This record gives sequence, structure tokens and C-alpha cells, in this order.
Amino acid sequence: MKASRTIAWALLMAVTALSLGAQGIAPAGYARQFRDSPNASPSRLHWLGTDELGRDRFARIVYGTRISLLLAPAAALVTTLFATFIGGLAGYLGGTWSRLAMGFTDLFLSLPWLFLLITVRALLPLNVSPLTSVVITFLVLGLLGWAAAARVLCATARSLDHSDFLLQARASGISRFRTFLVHVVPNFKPVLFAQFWISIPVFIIAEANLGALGLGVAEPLPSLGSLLRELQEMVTLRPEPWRFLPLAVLIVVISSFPVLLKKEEVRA
Amino acid sequence: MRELLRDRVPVTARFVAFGLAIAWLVGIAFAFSSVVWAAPGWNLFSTSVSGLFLSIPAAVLGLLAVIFNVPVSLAIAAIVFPKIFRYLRNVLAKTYRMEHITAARAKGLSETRILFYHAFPVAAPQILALAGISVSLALGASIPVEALCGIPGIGQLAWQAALGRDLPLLVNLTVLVTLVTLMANSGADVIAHISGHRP
Repeated sequence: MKASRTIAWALLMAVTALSLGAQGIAPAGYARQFRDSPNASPSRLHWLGTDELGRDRFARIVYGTRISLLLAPAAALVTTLFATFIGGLAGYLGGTWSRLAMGFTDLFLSLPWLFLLITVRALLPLNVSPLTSVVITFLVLGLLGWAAAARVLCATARSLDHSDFLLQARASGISRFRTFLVHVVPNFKPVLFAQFWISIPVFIIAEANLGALGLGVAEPLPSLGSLLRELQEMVTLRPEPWRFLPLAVLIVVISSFPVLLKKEEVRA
Repeated sequence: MRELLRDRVPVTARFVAFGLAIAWLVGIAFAFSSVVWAAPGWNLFSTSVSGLFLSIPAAVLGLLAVIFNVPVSLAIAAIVFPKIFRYLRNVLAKTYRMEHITAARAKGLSETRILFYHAFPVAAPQILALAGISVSLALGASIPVEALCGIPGIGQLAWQAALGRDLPLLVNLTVLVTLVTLMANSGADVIAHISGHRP
């Protein structure tokens, strides 16, 4: 098991390093069009060829991976924050609050996730600047993904309910809110980390689905999702292997995450 | 609205049901074989296959189905199967570690009898709950798959509504799908209740 973790780390590190160094590595900007050579095959100039608008595919993959790899953790952070406050607070306060919040969470969980996602995404403007579309897409993911994590946190908070240190905090006259922030939340750390780590690949996949449907990041900004849209042309064209590369990057990234989590952390 | 749905609901229902059936067959086969048989090579194989399918977005699986010319409901099956398999395997593994199974083994009961009379009744409520959830998973997967494979069903309608910003239609569809999901979940609960396996 140890070897697989090392491999996963190495792969994830390599992909992250490549994407962070995008400016230095990519032969051209992600939006630069080489109009003389659209749909080109791999060559010395364009390592992975160009897309139908003549943009360098390698550059787009590197920049697209960067966007997905930077913003999915940001969305995961939003989600864990939400889950801490909704789930954690509900579990800590107990009683009616807990029942109310968990009822709301259950309601949220029973909504079909992808339908909800495209409904909310359609509510928000689609014809905005590319940068805004990135932020909107990942913010929506972050704001809609908290429910499952909130349930876990509620259970964790409830398990702390009768602990001695909370009794002592109460006996010392610390306010309930301060007790929550200073004495309860730090105990969430392992659970929070696991939830944060689990959410990242979920968000990358969700963005990829949105992107492939044309509801994600707007052109010309690339993301792993919008790069996958190119596969659509292959239904009519003959399949060229290098067009599968965004998919390969996606698979490597997504499958690295669960390997890095220890088994106990997943169950927590 | 009613006319839109009349043509589309049967399409989605048929192809989601077919996909779910395949997903369950494969999921059950994989989960039982990896728990009961427990060969290390097979475990590694089934875990990596399900991991691979888990890390491919639903949209791409739909496209791959078109590219390689296989029935599109197989894409639904490929999306739902790894989740069924993993959950089922965990549930069964937990059940097989219980002491009454060891006792049954010690008495020399056959594996089939242990499975159907000793393991299955214990795991049944969780498996039924999973059945409810799998319906919602398959319906969720129907959006990207139908949209990209050009199948005129509910998912495609939702996608077109989202692109055209037709909010009333989109909200109605979401409510409809939520109702179906809730019905599937409560159906599973009711069956569990009737058969006396309260979770």
C-alpha cells in the first residue's frame, strides 16, 4: 500500500508542478491562435497539436489543469467552512437546532446533485467574462457541496457532547460561541481534513461534467472540463490518441486523491 | 410541459432502468466475488477497474460509448456500478466479519447457505437503501449522457433548458426528479419495513 501512496504523491506533485509552472513550460499562451495550422497533428512546434481554432493543445492542458487544481481546493475550502458552521454548530447546540439543521441537510441531500447544479448555474448569467465564469462555477460547486460533510461533522460534534473539557469550559463561564470556536472546532481537524480532501476530486469531476456540457468555464479560458469538449468532435472525426490526453490527466489527478487518504480517515 | 414530458419520460425511464440493471448485476457479481472469494489479484483488479470508472466524468463515459459504438445505457451502468460495488463490498465485508458467520462456517454450512441465510438478512437494509440511492445516481448521470449522446430524454431536456435559461422548466424537472428519487428511497424503506429489517 505504501508504494501506491508514494506513486500517487509523485504523480500529483508532478502534475501540480507542471501546471504551476505553466508560463515557463507552455510554448504559447492558452488563447494564442496559430491560424495557419488549425487541427494540426503533434509536431516540434506544437507537442500535442492544435485544436480547431489553432490553439496549442499542450498549453491549454497545462493552463486548464492549473485552473482546476487551484480552484477545486478553494471550492472545497468553502464547502468545509459551510459544513463546519452548519453541521458542527447543529451538533454542538443539539436539540431543536440539530433536528432543524439536519432536516434541511437531508432535504438538500435528496435533491439530485447534477440537476441542482445546472439549475443554479443557469440562474446565474452565462455570458460573463471568462474569469467571472470560473469563479461562479467553482463558487456554485462549493456552496452546493456541503451537505454530506455537514452530516459527518454533526455526528462528530455530538460525540464530543459529554466530554469533560466541554463541561469544564462551561463551568469556567466561557460563552457558548467561544466554546464552539476555541474548544470544539479544533477537535474537528482530522475530520475536516478528510472532508476537504474528499471534496477536491468530486469538484474537479463536477466541473468536468459542467464544462463538457458547456455550462462551466467560458472560452477562451481552458479547464479540464472545457478541454473535454473536444472529445465531442471525435464522434465524427477519426479518434486521434493525443486528444485523449486531457482525460488522462484528469484520471491521474482524480485517482491520486483517494489513494493518499488513509483508510481510517475515509471512515471518520 | 405535459406534452414535453410525455415523449421524454419513457425514453429516460427505459434507458436508466436498463443501465441500472446492468450496474447492479455487475456490482453484485464483483462485490460477492471479492468478499467471498477474496483472492488478492481479483481484489486489486476490481478496485482498480471501479477506481478508473469513478475518475472518468459521466459526460466522457457517454461520449466514449458513442465513439466505441456501444449502447448508451452501458455508460449509465459504468457510472453507477463502481459506487454500488464499493458500498456493497464494504457492507458485505463488515457482515462477513460478524461472529455468527464464523459460527456458521464452523458448523460446516455451505457458502451459498451462509450467504443467503446468514449474511444477506443482516446486510439487507443497507442494500435496500443503496438501491434507492442508485436510482438518484443514475438519474443524475442521465443529464450529461443524454445531452452528449443526443438521446431525447429528461436529461437532455434539462440541459437544453439550462442553456436556454428556461428556469420554470428546469425547476419543474428538478422537482420531478426529486420526487422520483424520494419515491425510490421511501420505496426501499417500505420494503425494509415490511420484511422486518428496520435499519
